[in-house]
Amino acid sequence: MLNNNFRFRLELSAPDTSIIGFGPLEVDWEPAVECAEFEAMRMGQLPPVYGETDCTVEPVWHETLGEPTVAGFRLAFDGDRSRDEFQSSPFSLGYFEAAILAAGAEHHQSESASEHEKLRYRVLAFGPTEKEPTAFKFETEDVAQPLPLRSSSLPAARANATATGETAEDSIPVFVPALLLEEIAELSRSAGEKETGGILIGHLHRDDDENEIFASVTTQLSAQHTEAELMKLTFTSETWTDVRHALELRRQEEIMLGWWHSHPARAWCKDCSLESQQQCRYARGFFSSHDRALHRTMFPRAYSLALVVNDVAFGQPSFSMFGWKEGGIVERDFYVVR
Amino acid sequence: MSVPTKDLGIGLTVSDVSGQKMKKVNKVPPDATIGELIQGLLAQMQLPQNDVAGRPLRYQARLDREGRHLQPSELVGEALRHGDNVMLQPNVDAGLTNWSMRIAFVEIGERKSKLELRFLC
Repeated sequence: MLNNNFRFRLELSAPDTSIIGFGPLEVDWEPAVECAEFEAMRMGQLPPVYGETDCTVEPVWHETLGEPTVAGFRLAFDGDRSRDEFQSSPFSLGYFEAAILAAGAEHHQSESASEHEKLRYRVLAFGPTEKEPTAFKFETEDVAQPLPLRSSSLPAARANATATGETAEDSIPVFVPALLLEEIAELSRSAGEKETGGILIGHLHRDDDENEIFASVTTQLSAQHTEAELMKLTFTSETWTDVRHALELRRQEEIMLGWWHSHPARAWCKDCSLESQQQCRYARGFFSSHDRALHRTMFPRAYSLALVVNDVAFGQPSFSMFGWKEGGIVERDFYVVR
Repeated sequence: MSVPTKDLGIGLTVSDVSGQKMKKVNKVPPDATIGELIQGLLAQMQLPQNDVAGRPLRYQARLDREGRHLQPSELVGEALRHGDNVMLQPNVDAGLTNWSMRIAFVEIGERKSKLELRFLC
C-alpha cells in the first residue's frame, strides 16, 4: 500500500521569476513504486512477495532552495518483519516530467499565454494532508503474491544466446527464442497494413550465485478480439479473457511477461522512396505515448517487457525491446536464444 | 444465492488483467452498482483511469464464477456473492501518435503554440 502524506504542487514562473501559475501536481507514483520494490527484491533486500510491504513517499529537498522545493523523492518500504525495510535510491525531477508538462500545458491553454513561452518551474511539497474520500467506503487489503521465481543458472542461459539491442544499464537480462522472433515477424507481415500484436509469456528465474533475476520468454499468444487499424491496435477485455484461458490450458506455470506489437512502417511510408524510408524515424524502433500508456495500464510490474517489430519495406523486420527503468520506459537490450 | 445483510456488505477478491495485482475488498454495499464498484477500485488499485488523450478508459468487470462480463448497471448484491473473484479488464490502444515528451504542442483555437519548460534553478 502506498502512503503519501504530501501534497505536491507545481509553481510556474516567467523568465523574470514572477509567479504566474500555481496548482496541484498529479503524480502517477505506481511505476516508481513497482521499479523500486522490484529492484529491492532483485538485490535480496526485500522478500520476493508483492502485497506485504507498505511504501511511503519521502520528498528529497532541494539542496540550495530547501523545503518545500523538491529535487526528487525516495520511496521507503516497510514490511511486517523489522528486517524488511528498504529505502530506494532517489528519483530525480525527471520522474515528474509527464505531470509537469500536463500542468504546464493546462496553463498554456489559458488566453493569457503568449505564443511562444519559456516558463520556469518548481515542484513543491507540503504535508501532511487529508486523504480524499473515495466513492465508496469499502476496505481493501493487498493480497500477498509471491514473485514466481525458478532457480536457474544465468551463465548457462547466456551460453546459448546472443545479446542484441540498445543497452540499458542494470536492466534484468531477458532471453527470447530466435524461432519466436521469426514467428512474430511472420505474423506482422501477414497482418499487412494493420498493426497486430500479442502477449509474451514465460518465466522469471533467480540465480542465487549471480544474485540476479532474469526473464525467459517461452512463447507468444496472439491477441484475439482486437480492433486493428493502420495506426492503432485496441486490446479489448475479450483479448485478456482469451489470454488467461490459454495460460491455464498450457499448464506450464507461465506468467504474462509483457506484450508485442507491430509497426507496419512499410504501409505507413509506402508513398515515400526507399531511400527516404531508410532515413525515416518511423522505420526505427520507437515507443509511442499510446504504447507507453498501454504498458502502464496492462504491465505495471517492473519486470514487464514490450517488444516492437518494425516491419519495413527495405529489409527484414527488426526488433526493439522496451522495459521499465526507474519508473520510466526505455529501450533496452535482450538475448536471442539459438 | 445468499445475499449478505446491508450492514455487512460483500467481500470480494479483485485483480487486474494480468492477475499480478490483487486486492481483497471488504464490505461492498449490495446496493452499489458494478460501475460504481469499478470506479471506486481503480484508484485503490493504482490503475490508470484515463487514456493518453485524457478520456476515461473503459473497464469491464469479469466474474470468474460465471465466466461473463458484468454490466455496469447491475447491482453488486444481485450479481455477486461473498468470496467472488472479479477481474478488471480495460479496452486500451497501442498506436502511433505525434506527441513529444519534452515539448508539448498545444492547440489553442486555431493557433499552435510551443511550450518550453525549464527548471527554475
